[in-house]
Amino acid sequence: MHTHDAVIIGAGHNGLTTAAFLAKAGLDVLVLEKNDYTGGATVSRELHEGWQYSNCSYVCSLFRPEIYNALDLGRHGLKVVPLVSSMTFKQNGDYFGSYQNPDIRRREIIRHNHRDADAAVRFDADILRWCRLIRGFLLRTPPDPGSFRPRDAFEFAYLLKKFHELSESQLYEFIRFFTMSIAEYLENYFEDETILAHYSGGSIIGTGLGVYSPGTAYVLLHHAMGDVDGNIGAWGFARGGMGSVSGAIASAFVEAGGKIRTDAEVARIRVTGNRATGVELANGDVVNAKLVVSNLDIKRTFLDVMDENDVPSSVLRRAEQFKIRGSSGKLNIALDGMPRFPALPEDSPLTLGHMHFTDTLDRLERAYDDWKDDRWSADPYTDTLIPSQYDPTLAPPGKHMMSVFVQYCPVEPDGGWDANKKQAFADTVIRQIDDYAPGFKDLVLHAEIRTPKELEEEVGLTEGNIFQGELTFDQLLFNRPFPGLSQYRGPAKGLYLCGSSNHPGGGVMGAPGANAAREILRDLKRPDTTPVEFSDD
Amino acid sequence: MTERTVVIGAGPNGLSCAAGLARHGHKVLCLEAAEAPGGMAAGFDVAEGYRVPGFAQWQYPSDASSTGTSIDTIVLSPDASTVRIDAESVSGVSDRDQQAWAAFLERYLAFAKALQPLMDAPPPRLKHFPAADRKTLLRLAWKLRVGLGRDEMYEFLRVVGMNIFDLLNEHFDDERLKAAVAFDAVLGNAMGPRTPGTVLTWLHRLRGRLNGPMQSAASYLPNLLSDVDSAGVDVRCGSAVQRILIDDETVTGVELANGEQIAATTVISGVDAKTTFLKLAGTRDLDAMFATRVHQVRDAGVVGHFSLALSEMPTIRDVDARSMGHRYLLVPDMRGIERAYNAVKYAEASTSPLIEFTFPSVHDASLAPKGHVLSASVLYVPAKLSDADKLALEQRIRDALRSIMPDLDDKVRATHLLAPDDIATRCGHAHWHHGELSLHQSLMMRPVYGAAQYTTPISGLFLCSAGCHPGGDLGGRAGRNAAAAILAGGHG
Repeated sequence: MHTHDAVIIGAGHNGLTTAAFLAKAGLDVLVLEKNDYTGGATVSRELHEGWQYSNCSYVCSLFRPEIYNALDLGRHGLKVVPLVSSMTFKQNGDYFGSYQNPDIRRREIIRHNHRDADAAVRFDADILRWCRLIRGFLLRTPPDPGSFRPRDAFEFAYLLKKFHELSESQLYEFIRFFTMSIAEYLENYFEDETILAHYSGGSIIGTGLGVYSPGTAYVLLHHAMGDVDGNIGAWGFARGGMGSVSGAIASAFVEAGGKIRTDAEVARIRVTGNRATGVELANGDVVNAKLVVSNLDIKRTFLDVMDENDVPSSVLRRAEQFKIRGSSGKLNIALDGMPRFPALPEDSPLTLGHMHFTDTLDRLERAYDDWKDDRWSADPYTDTLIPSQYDPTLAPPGKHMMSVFVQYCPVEPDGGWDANKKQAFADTVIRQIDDYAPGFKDLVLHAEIRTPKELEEEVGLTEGNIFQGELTFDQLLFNRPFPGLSQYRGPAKGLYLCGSSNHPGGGVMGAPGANAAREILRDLKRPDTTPVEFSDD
Repeated sequence: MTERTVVIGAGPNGLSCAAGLARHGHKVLCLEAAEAPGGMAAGFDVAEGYRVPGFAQWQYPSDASSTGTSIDTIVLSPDASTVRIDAESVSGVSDRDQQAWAAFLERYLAFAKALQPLMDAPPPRLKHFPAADRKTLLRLAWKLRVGLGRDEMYEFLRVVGMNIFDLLNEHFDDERLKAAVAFDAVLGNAMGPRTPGTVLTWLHRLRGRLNGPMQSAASYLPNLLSDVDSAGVDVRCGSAVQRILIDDETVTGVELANGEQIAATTVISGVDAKTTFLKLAGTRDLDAMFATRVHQVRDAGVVGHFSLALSEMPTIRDVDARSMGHRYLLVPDMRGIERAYNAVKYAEASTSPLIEFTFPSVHDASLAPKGHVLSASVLYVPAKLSDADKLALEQRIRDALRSIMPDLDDKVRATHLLAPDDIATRCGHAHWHHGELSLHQSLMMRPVYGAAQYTTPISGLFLCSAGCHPGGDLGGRAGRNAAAAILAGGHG
């Protein structure tokens, strides 16, 4: 029977990324996917005739440009249309818009608070500095603090060197940035309540934290990294929906000789004598491979598809303790026409970007309080986009496709989810939009309602956590997924991990996948096909 | 001119710092605004003949040699079941939880011990550090890697940034036990059990536990004052400082509210950073960004104080009458604590407040010769409460207490509720630690960077309050660290 060089469990964007780099290095790689489509949570799906929904991830903000270049994804059909504005509707009928053009942006900030316009200059400069610092760590393997190997010492030295380049006060500012809540951090700069709420929102997306929870400030980088480093093209809508991202990576993989098998759910990773030897599928088929790479989250990998006798008890315990709570829901809506927002001037470009309806920090925090008590937010924070304004492939002419990301939504409300509760959750969101776009309700032709449960059941993300594990500071760098297991290697020989449960975490970034490939090639003593981070400094 | 050292504020840290310096030859004058020394540890009258000995309910011994009677923590529930935590063990919970507690306590005491080099010294700077800081960092690294061993170090790294809610759910089943630990992790801070960083605030508390088990706070101030007296510190009460005198970025003395000026070469402020820099010193001599950082220190108090004058000792359901000297917790489960915390985020008082209470008169009969006093810390209470809200909160506290002490009402002679702002009026500041012990206000960023090593940008001006590293609770660790730093030649 044929033995593959490597088998990858799960055709999410990270699994495909690892697969593509391994195939480029000449390995015989097979990707196994449980669904009948590839992409994991990076997909476009026609769930209502004529409409394409990016029904899980919905913007292309973090994808590493180094990977885009290394895999030549442009040639494989990935086109990213820049997304350049964001806005928040105010309860009093006004709005705050954040524009790409610096002059217009400044004027808009002054309209709300003139001191905040100067603060914004300081803020942008500081955020840019942290972006540049953090970016250097994304495509690297974290050092293991328990190791005395030269390689880890070298990596620690690299980290120290990077930090040593900061001045003493910048070092303290960085620690503060890393440990503060987004609300308090922004209050160091801004005064206007709407501006504070506007820039806070991004920091709670996908987290089990509120705007006043320590550790949320740095999540801002996840949103700033794409748009301030000059790679505007790397931040925006993927033409054709997010499926184009995974589709392009898959295409690069197949071109390099790789194979993908869908409808192939892995039931078990086979381990013989502490070495992974392949996988067993749900239908009983056995696939032999010299290496097994799991794109599944850490809980699924160790607690579901591995025999507990094959995993050391300390790893099992830490996998159980790994925090991976779902907190987000989503509505994908087919619209009969473009909604009208009376607060905005006619033909305002602001409908082209992110739209939010939560204009105070207290409202954001109360949305979080609901989630802590296992309820969906009565007044949620949403990230609403209408990408069909840019991309005619998403909806029939004259019609529109709307993506509404909802924070917060519990994994399991009291008594569990049922059809009525799902509808009530959706109604809460639609009512909120309708408050700012009268008549919106009547435009809704179809709405796909997604709670963390759907994300778990369809995509396989435990508890529906979009990052394959919470991005709190206790689960980052060498603590991701947990100390002692942060270098993409599983507890058995030949077993590797490439999902977002690993450094540097979630978002459609591709970095965990590339880093895992690099470690595998290193162990195989093959030439490295993965990119190093580039610098525009 | 003789070299004089002035300490502003005779609270636990001011007095500890003053005593430390006086023992090493400094001529120390300690100025206190109130009519008696003690700050938050100073006693006050609930009613005539009834006195509570300060705001804290308990203390950990300030050094290992200390002797005193240890007290237990007894968690009460309206259903009359109790959980009792003593120095070594816990009772009233399942065998599994009892065993888990023993292992848990051992591990976390080891973690607290590993952090000791960091707690008992000025926080190291991260660049341009002097040799002493390098030593602190190396000792810390050694204690973590070698002292704990690799696997325990991994565990330490995993948990140190976590919240106490998740950690306790990993280890225990019993909600009352979890609530008791969570209470200790959040007491004094505007944090709930789910706030990241609460494992660290709990470890911070546990550091005191290394010196011995919990004791009543009733004897704290008398002992401290006798120590201060024997060290030769001159404590002057009723002397509010209204200005720190500065000439050319160097301290020259202080000015009292009555206009009297006292010359000093060294001034150590035992009051919080905001008051010290923005009010007493003034921002004229400060860098604008430094002043901004001080301005942004988070230090809103959320702990209220409630006391009762009692004609005789009430009975607590299912608690032995001989156990009245212990510390009682009347708290909901962790989710309930989190809900109570939610309210204070929006400046409202909790509908189901957390109550920690003791009867200090059991330990010191002179506090209430004709009966007893009950002293309680109440969480969470916003800084300001209207009279109507105060009345409503008092009612809720009374209801909660009555649920476990059915005969309480007959014995109450007087009640006394202080919101954080009332506490501030009484002793200068309402926050337990003069500033949140959040991660971004810890260590070399406490109270703000630029003044985190007890020194300040003003030459000759130092800080020693709970707002400095390592924070408050009785024991005066910040004051003692400050004294050591000044003696070692810290320069402003």
